[in-house]
Amino acid sequence: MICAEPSTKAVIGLDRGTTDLVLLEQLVLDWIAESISEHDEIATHIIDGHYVASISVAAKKELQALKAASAFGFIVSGIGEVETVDPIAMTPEPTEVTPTTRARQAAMAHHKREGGRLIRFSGCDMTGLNEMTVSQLLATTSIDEVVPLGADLTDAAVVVTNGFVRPTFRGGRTTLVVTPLDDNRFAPFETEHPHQCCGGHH
Amino acid sequence: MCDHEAPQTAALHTHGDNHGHENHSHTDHSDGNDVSPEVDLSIPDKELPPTALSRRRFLQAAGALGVAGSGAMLIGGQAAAQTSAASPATTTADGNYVWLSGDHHIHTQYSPDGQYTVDQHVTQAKRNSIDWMVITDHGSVAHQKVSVARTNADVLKSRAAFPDMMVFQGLEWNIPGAEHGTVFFPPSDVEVLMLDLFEANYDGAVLRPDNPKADSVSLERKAVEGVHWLAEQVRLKRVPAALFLANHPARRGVDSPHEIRAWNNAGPNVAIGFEGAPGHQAAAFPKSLGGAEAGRGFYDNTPSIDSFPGYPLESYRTFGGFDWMTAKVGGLWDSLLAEGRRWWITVNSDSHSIYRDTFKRGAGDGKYADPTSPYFGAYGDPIDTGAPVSGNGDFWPGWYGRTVVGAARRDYLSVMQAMGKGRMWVMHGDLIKALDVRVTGTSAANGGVTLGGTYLARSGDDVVLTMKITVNGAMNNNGNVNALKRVDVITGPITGAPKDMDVFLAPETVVTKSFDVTAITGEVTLMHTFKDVRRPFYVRLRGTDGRAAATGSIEPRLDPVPVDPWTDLWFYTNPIFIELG
Repeated sequence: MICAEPSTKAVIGLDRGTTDLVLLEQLVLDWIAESISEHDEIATHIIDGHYVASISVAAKKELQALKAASAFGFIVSGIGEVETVDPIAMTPEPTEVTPTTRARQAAMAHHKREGGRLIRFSGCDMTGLNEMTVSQLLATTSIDEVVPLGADLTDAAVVVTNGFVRPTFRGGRTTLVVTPLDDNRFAPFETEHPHQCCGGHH
Repeated sequence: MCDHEAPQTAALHTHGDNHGHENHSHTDHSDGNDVSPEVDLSIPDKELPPTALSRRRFLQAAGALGVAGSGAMLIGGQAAAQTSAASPATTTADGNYVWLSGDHHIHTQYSPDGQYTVDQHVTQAKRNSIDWMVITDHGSVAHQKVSVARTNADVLKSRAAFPDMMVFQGLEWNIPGAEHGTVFFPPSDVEVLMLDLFEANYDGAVLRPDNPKADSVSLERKAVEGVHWLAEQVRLKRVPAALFLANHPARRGVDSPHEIRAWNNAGPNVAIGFEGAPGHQAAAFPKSLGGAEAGRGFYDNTPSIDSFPGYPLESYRTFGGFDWMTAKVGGLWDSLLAEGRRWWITVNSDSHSIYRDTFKRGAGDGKYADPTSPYFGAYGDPIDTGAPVSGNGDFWPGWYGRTVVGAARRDYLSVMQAMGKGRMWVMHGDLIKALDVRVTGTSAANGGVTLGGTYLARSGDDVVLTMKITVNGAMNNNGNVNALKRVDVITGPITGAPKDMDVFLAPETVVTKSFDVTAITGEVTLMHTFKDVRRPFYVRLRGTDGRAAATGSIEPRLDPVPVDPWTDLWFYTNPIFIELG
């Protein structure tokens, strides 16, 4: 698994106008495999009824990544390290939603670390382990906190990842929400294969 | 806040007490169903116009309507209060209503993910003391073209074979832009036609078979049009009644608060409620016991582009088996009730494939949607493998959950009318046997207003809530004799229509009182007096075996996985409204 390295600063939003999350993830990973090797976190976002991706890259690679993503078919919008003030304050609110504004919103969300869902992050190869304690997760990945729903949690609690972990950006932090299993064990809120009624057609 | 109080009285009573009719000085405003004269059996035949009389005769012949003067509970010459022998029965009569158990969410071999025959479901439901049931296969192109008519042939056979079981034919509607819902009519000469027309014109999967997930304002509008169409069929007397209830409403977060309100607004007598608890209650059994080890109710989803963004993550899980919209005190359901909206809850099986059953899907697997296949829209009968099949998550109708409806008579239309009025309570695991809830003034020991009704008080009155609960002394289907531990009285002020149609909070709704009923056997009567009433409010109840709760709280627990659903049981009632006149 390719996992992200920290210390990058530029964020790019990537829109393909899709309502298919699986397709979007595959497209982004295909592009990554084809175009660039150095990247940080990849996230997906729900924006205006579409799935949109974002990726952080080394600042020096921003232009190259923008060009490559555009050539791959994404509508892109980037936030580079030169924008040291809140980029939102610098840009008038667009009056209509376009692929470009969706891409920009995805980049903004990633930049502010609010509302995205990470499919690649620092240490994510560690989460390929089937079980990790909360302490291990916090020590070996860029996850800042593990937040339980419906039960209390200690650092010794075990998270049964089954090799699938999708933390989210919440309030500027990388958060993994978990729900209770038995015996002080927990599972990530997002499961890889949720129940699909009617084969997923409805 | 919540305090605890021992029951004022605990005594054994006999059933069949005549409480008299609801006090006429207290107007029941909940009568949202305008009853056509032909179906109002208080109007004698001779006072009906010829067309209405003809219609009444037809409905009576079809079994959709009882016979005037035949008593409250007669059909086919059999007393309705009789139930199959050994099961814990909830069918009771209290002088006003016959309380009938049912399930409005059942799938057969005519669903792409189903397998059983109609007859198998009816047979099993009968064993579990179910009185009425609705066959609700998924809407789809195949279903609309083929399955509706074929289902009807089977349903007609079952009606003939089980004359004391009410077998409705309905549809599990793919609500455009939203979740699924039960839609059904009473038996009539047009039931197939009406189901066909509705499905062809308003089912989300029929409208957009390539992408039924797509959501938009236009899809939401289509759903509202569908409800409006149903209401029109009733108004035009093409059908005597039509009902729509939203199923597993919080499962994927796609039933937004404004959509739920819009459905109810489009047809207050038709769009009447949602599942308080989803089916699939066996889904969380561990794999080691042959279960699916998934979220209880198969609630294990995450927000998607179709989801209402305001819902918290916890809403995607169940609480004590119940849907978050119902289980959360002061949550979505309470926000609907707090605006005075008549919106009711039910409990069903959503039965597709039964936990540890030995049957598997019959011939045609993978061919359901293939128009060139002989199995287009219908699998072959299921095949007995001789050994329990692993990974199934459902119970048979009535095995675990039931919706208990107080019908004026034992007939199809009376069941639907009672549902429309909210005269229903629901439970899991046959936690209790019977329930009689009344709101009265201080001077009326009997009578008053029951579930779904509206009691009219004067400002400053004392209002009395009386709850007569019959504990279930028999073993349930898991071999347990349940102990009811606690009954909670939940109240909230009626504050009027919200400014924001997406509100899902009712912060003033709280547990007003909790009764510890540990060690009660037989029948217990609990009373609570609301003194010096100055604001309109509603009251609803829930009860629990008390074996699971959120940490440090009396609230239901977010269901862990795995969980044995028999170890965390609840009943819930629909509300009674108290208005000031």
